[in-house]
Amino acid sequence: MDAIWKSMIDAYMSQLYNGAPEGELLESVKKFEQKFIALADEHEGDMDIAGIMQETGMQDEYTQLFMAVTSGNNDYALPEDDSRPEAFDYAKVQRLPSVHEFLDSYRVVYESVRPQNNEAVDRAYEALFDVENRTDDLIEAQMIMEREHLILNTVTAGYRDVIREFMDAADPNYEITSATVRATLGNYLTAKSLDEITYMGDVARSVTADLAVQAQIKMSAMTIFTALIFGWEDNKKKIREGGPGCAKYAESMVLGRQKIRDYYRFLSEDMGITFEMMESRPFYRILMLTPTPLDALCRIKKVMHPDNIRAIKYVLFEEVLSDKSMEEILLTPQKEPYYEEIDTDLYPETDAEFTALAEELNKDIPYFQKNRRAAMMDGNGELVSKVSELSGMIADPQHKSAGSAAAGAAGSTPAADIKTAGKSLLRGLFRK
Amino acid sequence: MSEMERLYELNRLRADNFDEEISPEQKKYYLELNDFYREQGCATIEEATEMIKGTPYYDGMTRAKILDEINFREKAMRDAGYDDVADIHVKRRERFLAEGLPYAYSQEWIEGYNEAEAMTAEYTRRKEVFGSIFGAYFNIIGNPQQQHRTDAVRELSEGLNKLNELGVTFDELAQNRAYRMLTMTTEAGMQRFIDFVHRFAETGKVPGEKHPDLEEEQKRIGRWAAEHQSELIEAGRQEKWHRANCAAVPSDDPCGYDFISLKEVDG
Repeated sequence: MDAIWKSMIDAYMSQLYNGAPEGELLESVKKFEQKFIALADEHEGDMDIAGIMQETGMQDEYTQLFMAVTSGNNDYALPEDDSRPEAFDYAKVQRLPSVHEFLDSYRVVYESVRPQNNEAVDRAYEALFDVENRTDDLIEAQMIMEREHLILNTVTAGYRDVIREFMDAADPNYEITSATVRATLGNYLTAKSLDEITYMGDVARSVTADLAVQAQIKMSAMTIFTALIFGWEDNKKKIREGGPGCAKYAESMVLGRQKIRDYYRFLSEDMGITFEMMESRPFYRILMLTPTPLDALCRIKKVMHPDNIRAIKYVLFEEVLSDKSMEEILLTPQKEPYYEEIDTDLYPETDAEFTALAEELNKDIPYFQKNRRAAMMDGNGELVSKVSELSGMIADPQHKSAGSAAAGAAGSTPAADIKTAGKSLLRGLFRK
Repeated sequence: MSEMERLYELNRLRADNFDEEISPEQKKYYLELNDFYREQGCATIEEATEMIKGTPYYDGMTRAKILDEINFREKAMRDAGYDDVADIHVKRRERFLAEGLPYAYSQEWIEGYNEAEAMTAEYTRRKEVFGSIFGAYFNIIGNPQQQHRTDAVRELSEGLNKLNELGVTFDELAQNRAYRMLTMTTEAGMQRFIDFVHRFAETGKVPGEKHPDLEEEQKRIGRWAAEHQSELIEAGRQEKWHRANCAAVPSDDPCGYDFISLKEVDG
């Protein structure tokens, strides 16, 4: 055999065998290798190996085997040449197709995704192909497909369960995850057409950059605001304890008051985040209690005492923003108690107790059952990356095709249209 | 039900599955197709199949789909504030309406799409940089930690340099709705952001953290507090300084959460 062909075969096949295929998949890989060797013998001396692979369909077969190997789909077998489905050609055969022939166009599409072994997608295609067992009337078949959204399901099935699972496990109030998922992936659950999916993809690409920046802004805004309030309360508490540091803490409170005034003015006038909004919107409200995630999606959080919201309101309006002098503020007992967080150096069991509580509360939620973790999440950066992992599943190029050839009067939807539309998925939802 | 009545029902189902906002042309196509068949008095599907040949309905579905696609792409870009990208789709639509399907199957059609995609990608890149500039400004304005503010000044400078590399000015982006929407600022807030960046670009400096006007007042209050410690301690005895944590669980409560397992200890 030609040395160049041999090295090409070795390179291609090592990629497949390195994936440790077994069973039917291994048999398919071996058969493919034999075909590849025969092709090399037939085209000895011809260096356009890539072109030959393309023309003979061997490249497509390789791609399918590669997908099956990387998915670990050992049940996958390449279809025999004579059992490959072919799309019904209306132009050639001047008659309406049978239901089986009509569905062949979708079988062609299915062949390209079958190697990836996604159970939800397999079920969706099985439901589509089962239509021929429910009726042999072409019109009735298409009505079933429309009523039950069977074609749309083949596109969304692979993601719907994952998205639904994610949304069931996430905190709907936590805007940095819920808003992003709803804005970008939520339509997968409600869309009635592929056009809606494509449109959502276009919207998502413009929205996700905004949502990522805005999430960071919201988190920063509330972190800084609550830190300033904490500083104020901490200084006041130390003043109450007396001692030589009293004067220093009082001086800090003068500066602290100005900082809180300036920052609150910035938040309320420049960003539109007033205390009224903080108090009324669950997302901002929970951020006033400096949440710490207790699970991978920040569904359950360790927070400060909820009465701190009243305390923050009191501090902000009755003290900091008021016209009262510092003397009056310091001499007036604070009506609303402010609770700092428990010192875990003194109470080291605290975090473990709350983590165990969260595991108990989440134990029946499918997402957490599948993604049980021992370690605590490290802040919201990892949370955003979890959302990125989810969206990375559906990063696919949007289709560019103008559309398919005109359909017949019976209006059967061209499967080629579905193939290209089926690839019209959200791309690059999240920046990594 | 007759054959044609079932075909009418199928087309009606198809129309129902198209959203009026996103796919109005396709929705309309199937409803008008039914009207056409009724007007022609088609009795069978075979007759209907022959009837539409040579009429606009023959490739009407494809044309409707293409038109809907251009329209919703334009809408998506317009909503995002990407007006120049939306205008590309407007031009594609005009050519499509004038030239029909041959244009939609041409290389120029794909090139137009690719141009729109490239411009959209450019928006994403610029938004990242603009977002980082705003994030830096945000930290400079409010972060109580000096180190974070120092880092933010550097990030602001890097962000402005990056815009130069992308061949665009800060002002160009700041005037563009797409980038302004990113920041969530009010109009007044956006103007203050712009003014801040202008001053920084000119001077390389940001407003200091020091408040010299407060130094006198700080010393005065410090002295006062030292003199009135017993009263301050007495006021503290009427307050509660405990520490506490609890777990917040999402719920249907109007505040969004149930707070459970409260743990409270002395301060």
